[in-house]
Amino acid sequence: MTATKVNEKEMPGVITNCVKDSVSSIFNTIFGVVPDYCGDDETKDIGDGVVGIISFVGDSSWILMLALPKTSAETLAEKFCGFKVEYDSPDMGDVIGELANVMAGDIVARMGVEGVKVAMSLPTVLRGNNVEPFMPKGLPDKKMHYTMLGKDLMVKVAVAKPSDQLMGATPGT
Amino acid sequence: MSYDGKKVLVVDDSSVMRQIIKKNLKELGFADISDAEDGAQGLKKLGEVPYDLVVSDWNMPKMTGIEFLKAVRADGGMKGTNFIMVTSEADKAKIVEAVEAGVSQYIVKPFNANQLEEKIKAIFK
Repeated sequence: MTATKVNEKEMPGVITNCVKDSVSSIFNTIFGVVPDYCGDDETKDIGDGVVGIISFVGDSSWILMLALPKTSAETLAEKFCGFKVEYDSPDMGDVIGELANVMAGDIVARMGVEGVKVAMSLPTVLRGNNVEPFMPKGLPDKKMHYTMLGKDLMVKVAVAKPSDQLMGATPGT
Repeated sequence: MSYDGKKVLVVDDSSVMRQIIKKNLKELGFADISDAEDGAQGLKKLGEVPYDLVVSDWNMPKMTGIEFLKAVRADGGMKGTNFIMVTSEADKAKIVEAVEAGVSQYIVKPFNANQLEEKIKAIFK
């Protein structure tokens, strides 16, 4: 595996790069549009919306959050399914979970190519106002903002273990 | 190619994905389509009635797609069932694991109806 030195304040580049490449590739394949990257902004929130969360364990331990404001979720869900999906319905959770799941599968493959072996969890989907899971203090995270089809979306990555356990742990564990 | 009379079982824990896959299958000409929410439920349905084709997700609670596939291949009565794994797991090792377990075809999400049709044609050629 690739030995990656982790800076306490920054996400490992292999993670952010794989996530960015995956966002471009997966959204383009599903929706026919590459999302426009609007930069990182730790202070910007999504407000009322849906969040799909996937955990990764193995050579690195971190989480991926795909967060869509309400109107983005409604628009993208309809495009994804080919039929209208009510915001408050369980199907909306299925769609966002599925989107996060497909992205995560692509990320696992991309990280594998980079020599970082990780396994992914099933998606957890939350709905609410600026919903985010509690994470350990002092570990790096990054909020990446995008627009697509005139709608906002955010992808957040956050380290879930201290740096000495982050990269270079027993491969495949 | 006609799929008239062929029975299909769609197994996915996501209701939306089941709807999308069933819609694709109907457009391809399949009329007799059932579904299940996980491998355990799928295995039960396969034990009740023979199916010509199973289209299953990999990541599911209770019984995953790969566990489901292995259980199908280990059962004398259903081991010959055509089995397509539809999954987000694009990792090579996962594909190898599925092939070794006896998967008939493997589709990596995201996929479209044409890709699904190609896999089905390869099975029923």
